[in-house]
Amino acid sequence: MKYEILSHPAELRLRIYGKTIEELFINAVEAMAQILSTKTKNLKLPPSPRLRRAGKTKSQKLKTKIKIQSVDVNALLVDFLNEILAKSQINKTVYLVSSIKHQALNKKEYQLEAELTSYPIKRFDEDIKAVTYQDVDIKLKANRWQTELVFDI
Amino acid sequence: MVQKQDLTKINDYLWEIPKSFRKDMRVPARVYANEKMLESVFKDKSLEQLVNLATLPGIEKYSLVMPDVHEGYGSPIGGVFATRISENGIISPGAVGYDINCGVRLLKSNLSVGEISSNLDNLATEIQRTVPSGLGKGHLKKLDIRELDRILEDGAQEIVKQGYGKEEDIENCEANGKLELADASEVSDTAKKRGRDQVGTLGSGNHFLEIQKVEEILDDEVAKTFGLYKDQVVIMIHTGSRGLGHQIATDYIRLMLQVMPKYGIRLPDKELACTPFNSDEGQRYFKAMACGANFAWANRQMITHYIRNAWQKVLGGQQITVLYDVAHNIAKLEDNLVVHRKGATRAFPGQPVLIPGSMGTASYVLVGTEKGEEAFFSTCHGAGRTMSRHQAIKTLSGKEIIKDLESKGILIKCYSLRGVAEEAPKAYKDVDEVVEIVHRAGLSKKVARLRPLAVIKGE
Repeated sequence: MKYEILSHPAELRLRIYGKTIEELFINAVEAMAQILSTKTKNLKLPPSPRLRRAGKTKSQKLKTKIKIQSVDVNALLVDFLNEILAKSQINKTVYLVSSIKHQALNKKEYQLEAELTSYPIKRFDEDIKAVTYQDVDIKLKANRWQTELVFDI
Repeated sequence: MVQKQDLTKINDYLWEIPKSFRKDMRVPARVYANEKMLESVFKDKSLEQLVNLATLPGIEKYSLVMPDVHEGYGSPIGGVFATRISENGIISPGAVGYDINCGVRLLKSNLSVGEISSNLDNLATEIQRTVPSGLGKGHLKKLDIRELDRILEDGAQEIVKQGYGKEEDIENCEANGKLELADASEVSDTAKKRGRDQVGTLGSGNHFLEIQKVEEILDDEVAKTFGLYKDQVVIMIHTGSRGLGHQIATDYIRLMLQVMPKYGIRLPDKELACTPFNSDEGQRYFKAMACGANFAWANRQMITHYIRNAWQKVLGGQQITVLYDVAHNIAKLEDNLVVHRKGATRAFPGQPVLIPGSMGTASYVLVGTEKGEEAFFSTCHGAGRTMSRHQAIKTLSGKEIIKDLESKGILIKCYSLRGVAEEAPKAYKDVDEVVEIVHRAGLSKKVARLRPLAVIKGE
C-alpha cells in the first residue's frame, strides 16, 4: 500500500508508506496528484509511450527539476509537496516523481533534488489549499517508512 | 490528552483548562461551550491544539475557542488569542490559517421574498453562471502583476475605484476593505501567479453564495438600525483569498520555521511557526497577510458587482446594498495586541456579525457587545464540522440531500454531487445551538435569523 486516507473532521489526513524515505516521498507526491485529479490513477511512471515520444521532442514541457532545502526531513517532505502543489495550481497540471535524491547537508539543513513529470489536466477534483506540517513524523515502523500528512482542503 | 476532569467550569457557557495542566502553558485555555457541546470537543484534537496556543510567547490572558470549534492544524478552528507587542509577542501565520480573510459579506435587497419567488430559479442560475465557482476555477482574463499589486495594497477600494461598486460598499466593510500596512513586495511571485485569475471567484469546499430571506427578527431595535426586516431578501457571500492567500501562508510558515531558532522560540507544533511581531520576518508576514486580506475583500467586492448585474438582468433595478463584510481568518492589531482569529469573527460593540450556517440551514446576523471584550471582541464563525469531508462523501448521497433540501423549498445550484455531499447539513454542528451559546455567553447578541432560498456553491 502506498497510502491510505484516515479520518479528520474537516481536512484530509493521509498515512503515507515507503520502503525507503525516497519511496515515501514519491508515494506522497502520487497521493497528492491522485487527490487533485482522480484520473492520475491511470497514469504510470515511466510515462506512457505517447508521452515518452512527446518527451523526446518537448522535454521541457514534460519534465521539470526541483531543488528544496528545509530544516529537517519532515519539513523537507512538506516543503517539497507545497512546491509541487503551487506548480500544479498555477499550471493546471499534476506531477509525478521521475527521480529523487535527498541528503542531510548538516544537522539543520536537509536537501532534496527531484525530477518531475507533468501531466496537464482539464480540471481538479479537489482543491488542496496547502500541505500542512501537522502530525508529519517520518519513522521506520515494521520495516516500512511511514508518516501522517494533513492537507488543508 | 485533555479530559473533562481537567476543565474547570466558570459558568454554564465557559470552561477553563488551568495553566498547571501542562508545564509549557504560559496562560490558561478557555472553551466557550455548553455541557452537551463540550462532549463533542473531546472527540478530536481541538483541545490539545488549544493548549498549544497557550504556550505561545507573549500571549495575553488565555487562549480561547468558540463553540463551533473543531480540530484544525496548529490552531484549532474557532481559535482566538492575542499577544502583547510590548513583550516580544509573536505573530503566527498558521494561527491565521491558509485561507487568509476567509469571511462573509451580506447584501441587502429592497424586495421581499414574495416579490422574487417566481424569478428565484432564474436569479440563482444567473448568479451561478456569472460568478466562477469550483475547483481551481478562475477568470479567463489574468491580471498583470501591476494590476494585481494595486489590488493587494488597496483591496476592495481599488475595485470600487475601477467602477465595480459604490463608496458605501467600502464604508460597510471591516477596515473599509483595505489594511493600510499591505506591501505587495512582500508577496511572492508564486502567490501572485496563483491569484492572477481569481479576483471575483468563489472557489470550492465550504464556500458558497446563498439567496436568503430574513426568517425572524430577534432584536427589533438593532434590526432596524441594520436595515433588516422580516421576509426581506438578502444574499450571503462566503469566500476568501483563494490560492493567493494559501500561498502567502505557505511561504511564511516555511520562512518562520527556518528562522525561529534565532529568536529562541520552541513550539509543540511546527504548524504554529512564529516570530516576534516586531521582528523583520514578523513584520514582513503582517504586510503580506494584509495583502491577502485585501485580496479577499476585493474578491467579495467583485462578486458583489457580478451579483448586482445578475439581479438587474433578472429582476431589474440595482437596489443591493452591503450590510457588512467581516473576516474570520485574520491577525489584527487591536489595542496594542496582535489578535489572531482562525475561524472566529471580530465582534466590536454595535458591529454587525455575520454567521453562515451549513448548506441549507439557518444563518444569523448578530451584533457585537461590550462584554465581548473578555474574548478580545470575538465570536463564533459558523456551525463547525463534525464529520470529515471524506466520510460525508462515503456515507451521504448528494442526490438525496438535494431532494431533501428541495422538499424544504431550498434550491441547490452546484455542478458536483460530491460537493453537495461534502457540505451536507449532517456533517456540521447545529448552528442554532452554536449561536445560542455565544448569545447567552454575551459575546454577541442575536439580531436576525436567515433562511436559505437558494444555495450556489463551488464543487
